[in-house]
Amino acid sequence: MTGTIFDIQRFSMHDGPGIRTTVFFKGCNLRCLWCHNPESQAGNPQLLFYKEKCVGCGACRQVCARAFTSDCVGEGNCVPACRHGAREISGRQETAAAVVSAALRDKAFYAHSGGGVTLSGGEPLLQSAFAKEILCALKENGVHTAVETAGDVPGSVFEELAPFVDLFLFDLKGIDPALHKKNTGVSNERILCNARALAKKKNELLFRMPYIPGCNDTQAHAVAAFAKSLGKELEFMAYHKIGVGKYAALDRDYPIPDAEPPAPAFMKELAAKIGANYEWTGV
Amino acid sequence: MDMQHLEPFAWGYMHAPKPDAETRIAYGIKTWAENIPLKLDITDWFVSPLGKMSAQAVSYQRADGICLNEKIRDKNIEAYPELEETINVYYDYFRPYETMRVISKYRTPMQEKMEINKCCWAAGGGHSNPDYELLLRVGTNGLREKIARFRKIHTDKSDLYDAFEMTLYALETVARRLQEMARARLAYAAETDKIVLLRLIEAFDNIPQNRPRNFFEACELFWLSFVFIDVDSPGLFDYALGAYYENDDPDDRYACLSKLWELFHKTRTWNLCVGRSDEFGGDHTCKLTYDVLRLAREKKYDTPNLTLRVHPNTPDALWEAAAKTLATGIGMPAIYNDEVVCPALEALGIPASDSHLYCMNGCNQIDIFGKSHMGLEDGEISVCKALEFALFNGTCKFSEEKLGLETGDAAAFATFDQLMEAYKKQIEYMADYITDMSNQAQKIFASYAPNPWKSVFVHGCIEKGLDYKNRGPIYGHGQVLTEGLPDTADSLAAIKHFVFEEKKYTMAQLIEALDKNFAGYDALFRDFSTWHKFGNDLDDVDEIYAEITDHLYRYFQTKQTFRGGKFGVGCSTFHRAPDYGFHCGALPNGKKKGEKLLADSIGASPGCDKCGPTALLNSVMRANQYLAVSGNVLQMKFNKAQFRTQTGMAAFIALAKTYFAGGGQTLQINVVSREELQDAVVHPEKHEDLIVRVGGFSQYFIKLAPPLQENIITRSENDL
Repeated sequence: MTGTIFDIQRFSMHDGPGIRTTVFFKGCNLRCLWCHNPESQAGNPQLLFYKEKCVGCGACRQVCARAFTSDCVGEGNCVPACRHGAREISGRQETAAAVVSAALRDKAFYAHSGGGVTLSGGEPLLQSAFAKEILCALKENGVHTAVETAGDVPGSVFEELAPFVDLFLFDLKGIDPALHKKNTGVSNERILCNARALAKKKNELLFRMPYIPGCNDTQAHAVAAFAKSLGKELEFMAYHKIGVGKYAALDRDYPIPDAEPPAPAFMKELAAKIGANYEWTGV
Repeated sequence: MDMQHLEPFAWGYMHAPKPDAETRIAYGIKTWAENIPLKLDITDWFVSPLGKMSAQAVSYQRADGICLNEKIRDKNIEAYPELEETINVYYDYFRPYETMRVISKYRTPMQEKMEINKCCWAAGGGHSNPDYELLLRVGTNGLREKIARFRKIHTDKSDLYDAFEMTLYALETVARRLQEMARARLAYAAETDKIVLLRLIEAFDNIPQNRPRNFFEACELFWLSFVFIDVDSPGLFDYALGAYYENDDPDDRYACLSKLWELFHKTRTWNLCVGRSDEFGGDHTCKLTYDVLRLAREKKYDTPNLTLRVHPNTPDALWEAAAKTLATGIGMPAIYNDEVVCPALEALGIPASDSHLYCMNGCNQIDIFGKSHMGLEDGEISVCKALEFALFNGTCKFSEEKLGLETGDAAAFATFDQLMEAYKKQIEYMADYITDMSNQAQKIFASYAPNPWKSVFVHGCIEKGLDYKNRGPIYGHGQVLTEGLPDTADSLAAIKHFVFEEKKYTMAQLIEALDKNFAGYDALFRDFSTWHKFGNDLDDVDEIYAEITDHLYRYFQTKQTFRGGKFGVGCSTFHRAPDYGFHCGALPNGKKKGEKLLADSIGASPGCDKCGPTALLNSVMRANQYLAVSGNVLQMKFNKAQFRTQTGMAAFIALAKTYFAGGGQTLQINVVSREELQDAVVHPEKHEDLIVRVGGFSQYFIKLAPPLQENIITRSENDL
């Protein structure tokens, strides 16, 4: 079967152990203010337009009348027409078999590093049948699998996929329901419920919390306490601004223009104080 | 001033008792050792007659044989006008013996054209790795005994053995003179200097005649002989000096090593190799191995050219030490894989016990430590040029002369196989040229510039009674370097796709487009330049790359060297790649005439690998590297962030181990500097492959928003 993904990233090092290939699923049911992959939110292919690279030659208009209008449906015909790299399509249909064969190309690297494949997104569990087919095939090939999820899907999805997943990287964005709704657009009721259920399974489970000053930083202690109560580890991921340029390319305003990344030293100290993990990864 | 002091080498050479070149050169060295003005620089600790040989108008050089230097001659005339006539007589006497001049004299006009137009070149000089382990084990006394033993067998070679012995005497003479100087200096030296002087005096009581008694003496003996005549490659450093280091006082030995390291840097020493396995897979990492890596990290010098040999039993701690050294951004150590190099050497007939004594030489040439004369560049081939010849029926598009073979009008080729066949014929034609040229040069070296000094330290010479340059060493294989294999693979893949599979263009159109440097062929240029590139784990182009590598490497091995071995191939192009690129016309991969872009290693053409390091390595692993008997370098670039965290460091090590397990021979790692990042902002087109790993995922640097680029640049300043 096919699904919609927007990238296959090889040599990933921070989405689970070892050298990994990360498959980014398109489509998410959360709208986190700090999302660094805004192109992952909509489920359909989208055009990214890098204004600063456009020289106004009009080559795109010659292949598509909708090139500069809001009627764009993300067909992407204008992309090869642009010689300046100003246009990019995010999102494509792939078969599960194609994703698996791409991921297996680096199997030797997984073996030497203790790595594997991570399904990320977006929310990979929104395309659960597609995800399952990929995960099954990877397990048949003896590859370590990880799923990175925000957790806001029916509990049955976890039940169905858990046998094929070695490691869940489970995002927790906060405990306070109102604040969670404000930051992500959804309540965290189902998320926390799934987290509790998953903690009882034998799958490896690592909680991760994006630490966003001014948005959910007040939640750090509560999230740490929640993870601890389930006997699981928590890892902080510090806010960074890598996605900013992509908002402009999608013709959207950046939701939190005033937020600033926390200092690595501060994060380290905080993590140590409340018993969480943190590794500075460069931003 | 007399000529004996002004030009001691020349004087000795001219006044030798026998006319053969070995005796003349040995006498030159002897006179040189007796007469050169010595300098005793106590701050260096270790002393040697540094660089004095090349300060003469007539000298003997490692790479170029007998050399004349007009500038020094003129300076001497200016300083001693009364000697003008004599100096000129000397100078003119040596003109017919100037080795490089003799080599060019014998070049045919066609050979010269091939060289000028950067199709290929060939030479016969180069690097060597004398057996310092042997010298340190037996001293000059032991070597003299060895000569005496073989004298009895080769009774007709007594002149040659005299010449060999003469060089040992010369080394002892320098040591004795240095000791006398130290004694004389003692009387008025400051207290701190006295400690060093006394140490030197004491050392010279023992060395070079006998085995050193401690690490200080071992360093002095090593340094004395290393610099004697010419600085080159220390070779298997921890093998030669490791045992002395192991048991010495930890502070003193590290201080000695530091001093030696500074001297290496001062003299721009070539390749120094540490770490190794033996033929049973046993690991020989020792304290010196670790401390060399530590020192390289601390000093951050760009020389010596540091090499680390690894194998499946390399300790994790050594891998980590290597990664930490790489993280400094010095680009060293280069990492070589015993599991690929040794079998490649064994396939040439070198027994496993010796193949495991390989070390690197110069840039990336392979030598068997103290047993071979193969660690040099015998020649170089521009693979792109062979394709150009195939496409233009033997015409060089730089000079528009017919330099290649006439393999037929490519416009009439009906199949891709026909093109491949023509290309391979051109390669073979060029290979024949190179090996002929190289052998010609090797012979000239043997008769004009033998090296009795190296002969004593390289196994086989004393045993056979043959000079180092004249087939003396046990192994005499050759090494030829390639330029532009990846670019040629890209070109062939594009032709295969657009001309023979999709049939979008004809061969005639392509040839016309190349001839016009793509002017008026925008669509064709776009198609060809954006087609699959090697380095992205794409089967079509990777298969072609593997095929042309296989053909090239195997063909050279059918050719014999004058020195008594086979020609092998490797790739270490680096700074020369742009020059070769410039001399190629337009290529079907989209390189235009006048552009210099050519791959700088066996990896992707510049900026063409866009799928990350695992994809690049998968592509490169497609080629059979067990055929490479010279350094087959793969260059990779990483951002410093890769080496900043434990996770990143571990991932790098796993990456390297996977590559080596998959048949990779060599890795050279660049950790990208701030300057390069800054350049990427100004010239993004040159840095399309530059990956920065930030915030848990990687991004091509040039795709990042300008403020973030700035952010990363600023941060990299404070790295590590």
